[in-house]
Amino acid sequence: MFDFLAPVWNTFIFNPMVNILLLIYVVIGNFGIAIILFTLLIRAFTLPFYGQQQKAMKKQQALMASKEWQEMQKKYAKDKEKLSQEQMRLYREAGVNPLGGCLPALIPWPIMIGLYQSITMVMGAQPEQLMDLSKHLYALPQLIAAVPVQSFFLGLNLASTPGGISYIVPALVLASTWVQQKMMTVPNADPQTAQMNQSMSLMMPLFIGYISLSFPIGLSLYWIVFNIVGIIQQYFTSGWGSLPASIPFLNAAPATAGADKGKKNVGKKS
Amino acid sequence: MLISLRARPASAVVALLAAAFLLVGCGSVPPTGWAGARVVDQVIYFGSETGRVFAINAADGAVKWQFPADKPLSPTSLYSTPFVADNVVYFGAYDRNFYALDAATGTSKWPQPFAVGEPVVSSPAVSGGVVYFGANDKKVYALDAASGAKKWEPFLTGGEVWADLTLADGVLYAASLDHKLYALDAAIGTKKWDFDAGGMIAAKPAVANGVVYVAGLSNVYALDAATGKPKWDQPFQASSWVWSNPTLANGILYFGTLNTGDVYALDAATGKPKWNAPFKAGGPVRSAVVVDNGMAYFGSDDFKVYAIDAATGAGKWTYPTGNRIIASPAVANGVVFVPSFDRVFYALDGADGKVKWMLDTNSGKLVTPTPPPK
Repeated sequence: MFDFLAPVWNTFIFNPMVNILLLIYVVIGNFGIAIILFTLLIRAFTLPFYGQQQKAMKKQQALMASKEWQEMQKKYAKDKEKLSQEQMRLYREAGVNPLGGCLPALIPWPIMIGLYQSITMVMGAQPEQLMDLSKHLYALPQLIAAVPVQSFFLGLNLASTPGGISYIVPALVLASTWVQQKMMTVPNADPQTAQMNQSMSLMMPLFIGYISLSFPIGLSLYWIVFNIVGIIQQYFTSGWGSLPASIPFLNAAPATAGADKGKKNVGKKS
Repeated sequence: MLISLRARPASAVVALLAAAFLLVGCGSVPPTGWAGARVVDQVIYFGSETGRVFAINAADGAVKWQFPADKPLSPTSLYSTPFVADNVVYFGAYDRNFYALDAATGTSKWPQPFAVGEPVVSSPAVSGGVVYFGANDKKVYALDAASGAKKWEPFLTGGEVWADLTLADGVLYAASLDHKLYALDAAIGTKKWDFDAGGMIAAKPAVANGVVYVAGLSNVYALDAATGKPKWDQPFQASSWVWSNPTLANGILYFGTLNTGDVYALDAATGKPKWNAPFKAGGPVRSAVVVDNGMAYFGSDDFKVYAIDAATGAGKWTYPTGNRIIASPAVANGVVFVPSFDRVFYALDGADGKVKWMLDTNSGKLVTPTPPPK
């Protein structure tokens, strides 16, 4: 259905990514480090989008936690239409775009998919992937001669699925996803929402940890780096979130500037 | 949310485009395998992407047996074209095992398959009661064909061995993704010589009259089989990577290219092109170019089976299947047998491309051919 987009996708996103990743590998000479550097590079590129998303989400959450919002919920509990109108009014007055948290998060996704795909293809874990690589490489002899990449990193074959000692890799994927999910979860007064957040912060890491069991280790490496950068970014934007509830010693940690700033902005029109 | 979308059509467009790109981006090629077909005594043996090996009657497509009889291999990908010797079918699988089956019944000949530890992509070669194959653990194996016991310690190369192995005059030619072609003493597994082709080798070496032909990325070399020294003044440079097993027929070397979809015919003695220009297929050609009775047959990524004049490269006919063809065809008694990724195995008349029969590899039943689009 979207076949017409494939040439655009390949020309502007996928092919440049494949070649940049391979170029990093040619310069560094280690595919594991190349994956880490490439993930950091792409993460840096998408940083503004995530920053925007974090800010928009915080403003929205602060508004929903405000007294005015809570009172409005009670007042118009039986009149959904009026409730919706009042919600939109409050959004307008507070300068909050209800889609503000979604759209910036959506835009980097194609780039992240490109990152995932380019790692998969350059790694050549499946013969078809290596075969199809010929369509995407630029005509640079150094890049072409580097194929297939040597996929061993820290004694692990990045192109193979976990087994034995390398089960530690999906475990790290699970742990880092869990930490990030917990940090993103903001305490909510509504028991139903709180419960939903709770199960989400558990199900998501379990799901990603499970599927990383069947993925090549190189992809899990990307995932771990991706999560670690996300955790650092999240910390400087909104602090530890709900993580201290599960790891109590974090309660003693100082609040971040980002977390404080978020509180001050509540209800103010920007 | 609806109000917001109405107020911000640009946001909606961005969201839709992002979602569309997600769908395009997520649609990567799944691993399917490229096992070709082998015809022996009017029986076709081939590995299907459904995770089964079939034995079918060449005349009418009736299934004699399929292995495994119950649930398919897991993962289902099969890249290794079966080799049949002394009524035993040998093949490796992506499930990290190497199998030996009774050609008549499809039951295991060995007490258990040989556990390789890594997927097997290369097709085996059998001679003198020994079966040889390469694997993803970068090794070349030699097993006793009768028992599956190791004949010599596996030979370690520097990369995965995906190319099919070639045996000639007691020498085993094994190409590796480490860019090298290895010539091994087939009896004891020691290296006689190696040749660096400057890029990964994924196509089977061809051997004739004391010359080995091998493709490293886009370069095709002719080497002295005794020493491994180049025979041509310079390698032939194709327009793209050569993953198509080179075929020798009547002093001509035929092969196709990925990406550009060119099919070449070279003078095997000099390495010079025999045709004025390569034949252009509509998509990449990974399948071998099989020559029979003056015609050359191959499949392409553009879903088509091609028949061209082997002497001139002029197109004769094409047959459109329902999906990409990267497995090599087999030809016997003027009939071309081709597995396609549409999960149908085709038997086409070599003269005009008309369907003789079609087998649905999902159900193992014959299907009625639909007229090709005009």
